[in-house]
Amino acid sequence: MTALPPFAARFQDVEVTFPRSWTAGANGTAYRVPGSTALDGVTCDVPAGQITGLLGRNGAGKSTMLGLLAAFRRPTGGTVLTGPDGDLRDPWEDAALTSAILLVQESGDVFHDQKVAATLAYYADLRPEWDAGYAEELLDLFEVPLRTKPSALSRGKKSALAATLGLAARAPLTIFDEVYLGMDTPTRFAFYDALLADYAEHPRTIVLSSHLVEETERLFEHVVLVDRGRVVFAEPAEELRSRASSLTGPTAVVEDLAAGHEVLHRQHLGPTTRITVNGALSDDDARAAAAAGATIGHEGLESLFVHLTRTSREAPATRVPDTDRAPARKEELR
Amino acid sequence: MFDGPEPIYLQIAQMIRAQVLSGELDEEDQVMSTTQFATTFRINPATAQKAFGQLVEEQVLYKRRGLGMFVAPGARERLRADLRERYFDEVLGPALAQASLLGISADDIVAYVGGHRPSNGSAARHEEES
Amino acid sequence: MSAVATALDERRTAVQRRAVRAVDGQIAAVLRTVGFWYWPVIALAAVVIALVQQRLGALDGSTVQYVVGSARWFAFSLGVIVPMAVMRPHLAAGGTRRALVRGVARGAVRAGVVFGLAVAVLYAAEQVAWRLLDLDWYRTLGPDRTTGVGGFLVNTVGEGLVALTYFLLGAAVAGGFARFGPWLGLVLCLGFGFPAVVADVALYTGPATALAAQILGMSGPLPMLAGLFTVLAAAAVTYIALGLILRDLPVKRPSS
Repeated sequence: MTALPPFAARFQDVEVTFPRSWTAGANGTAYRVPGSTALDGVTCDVPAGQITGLLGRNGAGKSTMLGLLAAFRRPTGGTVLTGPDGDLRDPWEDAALTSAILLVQESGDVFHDQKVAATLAYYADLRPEWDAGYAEELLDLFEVPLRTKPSALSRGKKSALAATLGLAARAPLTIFDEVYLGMDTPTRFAFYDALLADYAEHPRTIVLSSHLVEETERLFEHVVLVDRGRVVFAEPAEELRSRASSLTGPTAVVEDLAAGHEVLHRQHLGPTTRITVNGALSDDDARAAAAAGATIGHEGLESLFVHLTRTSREAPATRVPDTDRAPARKEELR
Repeated sequence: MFDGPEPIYLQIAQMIRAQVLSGELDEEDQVMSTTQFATTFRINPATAQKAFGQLVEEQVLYKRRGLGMFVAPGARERLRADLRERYFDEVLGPALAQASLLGISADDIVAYVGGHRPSNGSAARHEEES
Repeated sequence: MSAVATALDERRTAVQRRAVRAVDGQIAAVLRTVGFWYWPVIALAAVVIALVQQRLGALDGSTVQYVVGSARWFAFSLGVIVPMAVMRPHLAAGGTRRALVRGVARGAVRAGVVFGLAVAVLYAAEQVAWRLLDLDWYRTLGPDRTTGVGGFLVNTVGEGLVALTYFLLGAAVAGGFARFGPWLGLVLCLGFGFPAVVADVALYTGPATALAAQILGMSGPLPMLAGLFTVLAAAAVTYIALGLILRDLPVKRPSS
């Protein structure tokens, strides 16, 4: 079988709404879930052969977008296309594409009550690019025993098994949906290392969804930020790293300097104000700032993420730690 | 590593330049591969690739097909010449401008430099070479 | 056609075939595991009932006929559990829903063959045992002419088709609940009661056979064939319904 090149993907004005429905509660009773809009006109590209970071808060629509790519569901409106660059198609029920796209979710889609080996065998059957030797190597690295049932594994080991499936399948489009949430830090780093090493050796398209921005941002070549079902930006990562700047100094001076820039965040500490603006500051701005006693700082991707996805209720002017926000309600996806 | 505000690829390029300049990397030495770079510093391989691209353009590195990246012959000399050229413009010039702004006289500066001139080591050697 | 498009076409055929086989393989594995204890337990139950009835002096014909009635419900339960359990890993592993439906159909045929043979073997074994004990074997439920090679065949095909239908029904009911939620799912479940009853009466209690013989005036093997054909039709209807239900079933996010 001819090897497939890395896949690209395109979202065109994609809408996903969930109808009002019933779901089973923990105690077995049925309860109503109100209808909701998960994606509201999403348009963006996933470039072929790159590692794309899909960032967004809980419930922003990340998983829904990824589910569309993997043909787990269909969009309510718009089109989702994927495939070899220049030959994009609808992945829905197309075995040629679905066998080349792998969406890995945290606890993995495995046979919970059969030995790990049974799940590996199933994936090996359906995935032409599967590398059994590499899978065993990874399970060894993550210390996941082959002869155990996934239901008996700890959360971290389940995540490690899921990550193994994602890496060993070598799918032309490999998607990790927060698969590393259950892992402890050393395992997570081992996963990032394995991912980078295997990606360099076997080029393919990788999408990582995350809200651990600081830890993952350097892995990305391209970044898509979604918030409340919409794309905030989709750009090369290198350009985003220097996008946000901060101005710190006497309130009047800083306000003056920030005029004409898009203000992302304003923080008052007594007579001092710190303003985060969207966009790099020019050399003229820098000179003016230095002369007036204000300092200019560079804000990373994380800062951009926090400020651009903050809700109005979460922006108290004097709150100091930016990351200390209320946890968002995880949208129930159906 | 690479926590500065500039793009990471610029920081990587800067690191390699510094290593060549200090002699840590000798001419014809092989530098780490893109993959090694990516996994060592946990960065996207394309980022390392971009840094290499820039250094190849600057003739600091050259590519041997199938083998990898190597330090170009004469790279160290070229880097030194380049930095020397820019030293007055980019380092000393602004420092002197600042000094005159603060009313520090040329004599003060000369006296300061005289007191700090290293008696041996790299600076002295550089003078002999030029 | 471009090289990539050709590669995709080749891939589609090969992968689809393997995916159908993989689903079937999973069902086979489950049948092996649960069949290993289910059939011995059923056989044991028949023997125990016979012994108790004889002790009480109430032995009246076959006792296998009482216990094998549960087999179809067992097939139904497997149908409810297995295909839906396979679905998520199957789709994540890159299979399509179409491959799943086809694999489930193959698995249902497999279940039918296993169940049909098992039931026929139980009846045959009982007949042999009774003959050795010098008793007259007969059964009180269903058509009576089911001894010898002909009886073995009728039992295999008849019970097999019923088990197949029940397995598909189980899958369709589970899919219906997953697709339409509890209320509409329940309605659908009642709807599926129809082919279930049809399959049931066609062979087990025999009205379809009797109907064909008495009202339509059929004779010889024809009423039996009419019964078999009716079950086959019920199985086909269920298969089509299963395909329609699973055709666009979305995958939910894991709740854990």
